[in-house]
Amino acid sequence: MTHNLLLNLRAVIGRAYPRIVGQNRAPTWVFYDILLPLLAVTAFVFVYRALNAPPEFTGFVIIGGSMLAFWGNVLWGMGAELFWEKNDGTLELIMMVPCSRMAILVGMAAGGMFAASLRALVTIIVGVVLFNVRFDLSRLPMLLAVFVLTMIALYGLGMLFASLYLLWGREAWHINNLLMEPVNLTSGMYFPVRAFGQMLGLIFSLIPLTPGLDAMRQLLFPAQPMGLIPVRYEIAILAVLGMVFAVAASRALRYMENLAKTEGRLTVRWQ
Amino acid sequence: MAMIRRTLLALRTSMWLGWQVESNWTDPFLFAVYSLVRPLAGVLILFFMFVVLSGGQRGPMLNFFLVGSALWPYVVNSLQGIAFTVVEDREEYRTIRYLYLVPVPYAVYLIGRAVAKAVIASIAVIMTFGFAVIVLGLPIDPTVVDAPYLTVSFLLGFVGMWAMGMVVAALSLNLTQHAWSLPDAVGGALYLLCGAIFPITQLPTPLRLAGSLLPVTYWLEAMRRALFGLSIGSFPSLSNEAIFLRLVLSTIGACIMGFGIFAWGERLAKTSGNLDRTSNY
Repeated sequence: MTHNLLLNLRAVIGRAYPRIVGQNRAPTWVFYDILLPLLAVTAFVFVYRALNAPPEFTGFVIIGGSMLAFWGNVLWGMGAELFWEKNDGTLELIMMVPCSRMAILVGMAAGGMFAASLRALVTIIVGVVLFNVRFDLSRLPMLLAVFVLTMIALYGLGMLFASLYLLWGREAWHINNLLMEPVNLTSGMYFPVRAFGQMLGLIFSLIPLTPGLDAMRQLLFPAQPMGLIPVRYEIAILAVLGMVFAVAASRALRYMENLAKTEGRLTVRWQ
Repeated sequence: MAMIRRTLLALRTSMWLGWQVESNWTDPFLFAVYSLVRPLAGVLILFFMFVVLSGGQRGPMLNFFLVGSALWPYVVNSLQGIAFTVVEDREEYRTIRYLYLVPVPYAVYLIGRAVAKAVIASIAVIMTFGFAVIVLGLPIDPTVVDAPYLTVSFLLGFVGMWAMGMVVAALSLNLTQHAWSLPDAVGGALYLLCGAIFPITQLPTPLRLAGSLLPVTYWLEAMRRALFGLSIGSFPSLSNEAIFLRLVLSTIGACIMGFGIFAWGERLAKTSGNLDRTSNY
């Protein structure tokens, strides 16, 4: 038991390590992966400026833009990761190691979250410094709880994607592309999700970003009451989603791995 | 004459290849959905950003958003597409060295691939415009549309976008670690600078000046003017003729710079050994 726990913990650290260290070995990623993507987020700030929107809306964009870093990481760093490993010929090695596959995925999540957190942080700093965004931090503990629950649910979803992508070939790339803008829309990345109406907003709350972002905006900008439902309900939704995605990911990973093996597609590259 | 024929044949072949690579991963229905969903979501994001403030009212600014957003797939597919082709050939399919073995300039092959991407983008653009007109109430009045201005500007815009795409391709040829990120990042920068979703008059002066050098800025402005006449725009003080002249001049500049930088970048990639260096990044 203890041996297994230690083994899996080492696997988590081992998988997270190259992601964190790799960033430091090529510091140019700060320019390509942090500063340049910020420009697209900034464009949405200017949209609200063109509309003479209240200053809180600039804050909405900044918070949405910072969460975009995590969504991009979930799709490309988690979902598509096993697909990349397959194409690079390293998936076989991952399948051979004597630890839980979930430990590998958790390690991927931890390492990826590091880079995404830096990007999110830079987005927020840019918002504060360049666009004079002011956050209300009076409910910081609750904000942190919402953030952590959002991350758990979001990366649980990423693990679920990773298992699905085991079977896919080139579709994985396209499905990832397909999921970017529609999720930006349905999660209300750049506008309050209440604009959809309550029914649609609740349906879209199956994506963890939607209740997570809405709750964070309610907590950070209480002067602009545009929340979908009270924060406590959104916390409950996030907790449930986190548990459901984690269990589903674990089962789906086992199922998809077996299916890929029986169909002979586990290591087929460039299909 | 034989060279022109060979170039045209190469263009046609790379267009066909581009179409196959882009579309044969799934069935036509799913491909059509895939082509449509992203731009449609982009349009709807701006629509909801507008209505959440206007309370459901329409206005010229909404038209500005919708047209820019609906046309954006052309920029993504044409400009970013060229650079992604380079990265895919080198990193994913690992065919770039074989492409350099064939007796056709790689630049010609890239333009052929870009044309295929523009054709694919047309599916999205047409359907998105249809959705914007029918569902979102984009008021396009055929009696107002300046068809000759629209057609000439529209076609000229592609030359500028492809030329700018060659610059990004040249950089991608020489980047090993961030080649995947670069095209998206450049697209993001253009989204900010060229008045795609807001008039560039909103930008600080240095960024506005940078945007004023890009052919895509004048292309989008010309498209809006051709569809709606003089309305909200990035250059309120300029006439349609002045916008067209600037589109021509910036396109010529982009061509000189684009193909010049591509030739330099290609040479540099060969001498540095980066041309077929896969990074597994």
